[in-house]
Amino acid sequence: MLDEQITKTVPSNVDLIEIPVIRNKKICFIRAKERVDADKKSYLRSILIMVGDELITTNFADTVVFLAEIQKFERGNKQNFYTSIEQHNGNINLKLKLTSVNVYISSVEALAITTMHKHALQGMSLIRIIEDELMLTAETIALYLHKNKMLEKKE
Amino acid sequence: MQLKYVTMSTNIIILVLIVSIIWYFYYRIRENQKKKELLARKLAYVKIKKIEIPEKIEKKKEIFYELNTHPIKLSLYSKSCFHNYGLARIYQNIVVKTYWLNEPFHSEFSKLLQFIGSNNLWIRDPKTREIIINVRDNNNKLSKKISMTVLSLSEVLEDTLNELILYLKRQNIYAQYDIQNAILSASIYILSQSGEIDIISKTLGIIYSDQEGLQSALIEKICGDISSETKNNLIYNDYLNSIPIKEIYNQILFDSKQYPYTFSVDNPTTPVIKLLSYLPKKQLISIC
Repeated sequence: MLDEQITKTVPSNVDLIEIPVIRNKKICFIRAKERVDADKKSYLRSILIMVGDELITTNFADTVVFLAEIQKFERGNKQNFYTSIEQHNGNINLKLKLTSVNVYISSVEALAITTMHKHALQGMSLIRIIEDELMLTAETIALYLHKNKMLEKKE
Repeated sequence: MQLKYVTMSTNIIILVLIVSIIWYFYYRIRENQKKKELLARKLAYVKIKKIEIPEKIEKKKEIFYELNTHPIKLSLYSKSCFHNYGLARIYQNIVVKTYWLNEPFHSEFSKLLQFIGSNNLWIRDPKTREIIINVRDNNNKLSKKISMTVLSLSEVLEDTLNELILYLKRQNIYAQYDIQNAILSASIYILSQSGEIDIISKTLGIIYSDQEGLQSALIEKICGDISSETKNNLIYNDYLNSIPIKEIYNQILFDSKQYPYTFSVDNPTTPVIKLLSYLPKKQLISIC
């Protein structure tokens, strides 16, 4: 009971780590890692996806949906939440639904994203991600981003 | 014959007894007289002695003149009106320590500080990166929020005013009127740089085209009691423009502390700007 309470509140030993996936389109994963010194273990608490200056997903379930949409690629339909299929000069691309910028993903890049996601899960304990996922709000995300110096302008 | 001798001898004995008794009494009387004389002499001697010994001089009581050391009281605004430790510190350093209680400056400057303190104003950080966060909650409600780092306006104000006063001292400008005007113009300039200036100008009813127009409107709305000459001096005077307020301000922006801040894009809950309809009165407050 107490363990649940502790894990669901905002813990201070969580770090957000940026993992670049496709550099020219500024697509990256953000991994929330919890380090427990007593157990000498680090747990994965959440994986988010950021494109440019926009966080698309803020919990693990949404990330899984996004990755599934990318994995299916042209076989998806209009119910896609994060992407839309567009055809240009005979090439099929996925267009990400973003607020300000247009980003298109080719099939090769989609493969790269899915393989990178597999690598990102390696070497970490996945016990806490399903049941005790970090309940992130915009304010707590901003707090963690500021703590890890990701709210600074990159030059 | 024998009888005669007996009577003679008894007579003699009686005589001797009588004489001895008389002598004894006489002697007693003389001794008493001598004693009385001695006593009288002793008394006289004691009296002389009493005169000779000087009586004890009564010590004069030390008079303590109480100095007027009770704490001086001045009519000031209490610290709680400013809602902020930093602003209270500015008031303490600029108004109280220097005794600048001349009237248009004191009340108008503290009014400005109270306006800043009652609304937690912020300044956009020049180094910030705006990140849009799409949050989907359990009820499938999607909300878009922007997160960025901001600076606290009161902290920036405190640092710039301290730096400005140091600069004026270095330039040997000690005239009270000039320093007060420089402080007022710097604080108005910083207020005009606030991130919520659109909402402030909307609530105050200000329509402006350029930065200087905005500043003069802010002075008129917030510090209305300043005379029109000084109002013009605050913004348009060449002398005050020669003080590099903007440079000092820009320097301090890069050093001050950053805070994370989020605001929603879709339905922005505009922060309500509290106007100073009720001004707290001055109280007699002791310094030190």
